[in-house]
Amino acid sequence: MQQKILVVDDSPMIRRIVGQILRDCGYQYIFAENGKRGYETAKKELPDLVIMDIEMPEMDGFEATRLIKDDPDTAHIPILFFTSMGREEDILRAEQVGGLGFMNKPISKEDLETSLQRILA
Amino acid sequence: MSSLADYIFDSSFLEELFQFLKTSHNIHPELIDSDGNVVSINNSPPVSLAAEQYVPFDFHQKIGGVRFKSKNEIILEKNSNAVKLCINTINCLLQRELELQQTADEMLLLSDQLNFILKLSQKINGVKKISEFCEIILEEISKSIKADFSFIITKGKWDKKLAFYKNISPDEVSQIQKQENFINVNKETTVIFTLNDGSSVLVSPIKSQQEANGLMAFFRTKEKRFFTSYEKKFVGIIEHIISPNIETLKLYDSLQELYLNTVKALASAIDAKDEYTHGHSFRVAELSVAIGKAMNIPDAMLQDLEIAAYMHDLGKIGISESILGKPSKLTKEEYEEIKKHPVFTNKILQPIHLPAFIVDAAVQHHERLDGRGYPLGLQGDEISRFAKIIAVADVFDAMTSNRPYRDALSVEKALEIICNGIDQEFDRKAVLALISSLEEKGETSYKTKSHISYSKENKPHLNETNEDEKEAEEREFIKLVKKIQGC
Repeated sequence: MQQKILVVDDSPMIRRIVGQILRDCGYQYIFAENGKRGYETAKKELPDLVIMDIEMPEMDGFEATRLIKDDPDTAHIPILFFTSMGREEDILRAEQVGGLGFMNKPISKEDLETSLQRILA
Repeated sequence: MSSLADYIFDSSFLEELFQFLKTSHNIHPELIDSDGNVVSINNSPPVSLAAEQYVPFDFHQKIGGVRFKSKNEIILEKNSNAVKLCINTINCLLQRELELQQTADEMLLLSDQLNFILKLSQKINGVKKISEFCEIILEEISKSIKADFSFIITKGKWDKKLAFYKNISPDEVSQIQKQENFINVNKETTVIFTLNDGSSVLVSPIKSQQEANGLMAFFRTKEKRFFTSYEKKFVGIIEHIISPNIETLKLYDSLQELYLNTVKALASAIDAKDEYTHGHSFRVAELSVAIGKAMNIPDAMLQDLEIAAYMHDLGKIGISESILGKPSKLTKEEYEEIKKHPVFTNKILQPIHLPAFIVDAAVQHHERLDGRGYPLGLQGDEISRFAKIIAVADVFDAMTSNRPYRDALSVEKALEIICNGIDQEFDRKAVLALISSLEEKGETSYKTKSHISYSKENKPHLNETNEDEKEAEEREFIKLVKKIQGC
C-alpha cells in the first residue's frame, strides 16, 4: 500500500516541487492550499503524514496543526513543518503545537527524502 | 522512464473533457498509455463500441494517446473537429506540464544550491584559520558533488604555499599534477576533464585579485559517472565565495603575525636594556598563557593575554639603565622611580588604541588584591583578570631568575612565597593555575611544607568573595597541595 502524504502550502510552486519529489520517492500525495483546507483534507483523507507550511492565508500552519492534534480522528497523524532557515522562534512554536520535525526552506530533495524515510519507516 | 501518469498531475480537467465528448457528441474517449493499456480516469468501466479511432499524443517520447469510440464510423467522422480539438488540447496540456516539471526541477536544483550556500556560510562563519576554512570547503563540496577525493592548493600568509587533501596523499596529487591532461587545463576557469586512468575531474581556480593563484580539484573514480556541467557551474559559483574568503583569511593571518611580531620586537627591546632580565618578557608571556590555559580561558582570548604579557614591562624603556641594572639594593628614591614604569607603559600604549582590557592587563600587573600595589592602588576585582595572571607570572619569573643583588630562588621557594601572598597580593585562582601548569609541564617537584598547607585561619578574608565559591576553592587547593605532596 502506497503511503499517502498531504502537502499543505499556499505556494503552487512549492506544492508542485514537493509533489514531484514525493512522486519520485513513490509516495501518493494530495494538496491543500491553506490551513483550513489542510485540516479538512486531513480529516477526510487520513494521510500517513502531513507536510505543513507555516505562513498561509486564512489559517496558518500552527492553527491547522492544533485542529488536527485536537481532533481524535486525526491526532495520530505526524506533522512535518516547513520552516524558513534561521527562524528559530518558528521551530519552538512548531514543537509546542506537536510538530514532529522541520524541513528548511528552500527545499532540499535530499533532506526531504531523509525526513520522510525517518518518519514513515 | 517517465510514463503518461507522470504528466497528468491533475486529471479533473480530463474528466470534464471526456464527459463533455460523451454527452454532447456521443463519443467515448479512453486514455491509453504507452503499452496500449487503458488508463482509468474516473473509474468508469470500459465500453465496447463498433467504431474506434486511436490518436497518439504528439510528444517528444511515446507516452500513449486517446482511443475515441462510438457506435459507428459516421459519428466519429461527423465529430472529427471535436476529436481534433480534444487531442490538441491534451497535447498542449502535456507540453505545458512537461515545461512545468522542467521548471520545477530547475527550481529544485537552484534551491539545493541556495541551501548549500546557506549551510556553508553558517559553517565558515567565524572561522579564522585558512586550514580550518579549506578543510570545511573540501569536506562540504566533496559531499555535495559526491567526489571521491579532492585537494586544495592555495597561498597562505606571505604567499606561502598551502595544500589540503581529502582521501588522497600529497604524492598522489603530485603524480596527478604531472599528467598532461592536468597540465594543459585552463587554470583560469572552472573545467571538467578526464584523467588517463578514466577518473572524472572538476577543477576550479582560487583567485586573488582576479588572478588564479591556487586551485581546488575534485575527483570521481572511473566507475562512477562523470561530473556534469551543472556541477561545474555550481562549483564555479561557490568559487566566488571561497576566493575572497581565503584572501581575507590570508591577510588576517599576515596581520596577526605582524601584530604579534611587532609586540615581540618591543618586548625584545625592553629585555635588551637589562641583561639580567634577559628574556623575562618572553617567559612571562609564556607563563601567563600557561596559567590562562589552566584557568580554561578560551584560545581566542589567550592571544590577548599573551600580547599584554609581552608588553607588561614596556614602560621600563623610560627608566634609567643605572637603576634597572643596579647590582645592589635600591634606595627609596630609586624604587619610587622603578614604580613609575606601569605609568610609562600606559603612555606608550595609548596612541596604539589597543582595547582597554589589553592595556589594563599590562599596566596593572603590580597592583595587589589588598590595594597596596601600584600605580593606582586598585583592589580585588578592580584589577583586571589578566593583570592578576601576569602579576603571578611576573613575580614567579623574577624570583626564579638571577638578579644583580641575589641568586635565583628555587621553584619551591618561589611558590612558597607566592602561596603566602594569596588573597593579599595574588589571586588565588591564578596561583593555583600556575602550580598546576608547572606540574603539568613536570617542572616542579614542589613539596609543600607544613606552613604553606592551607589553613583557613591564617588567610585573611576578602569580603567580595562568595563563601561557597571560596570553600570550593579551598577544597580544590587542599586537593592540589596533597597531590603535589604525593609526588
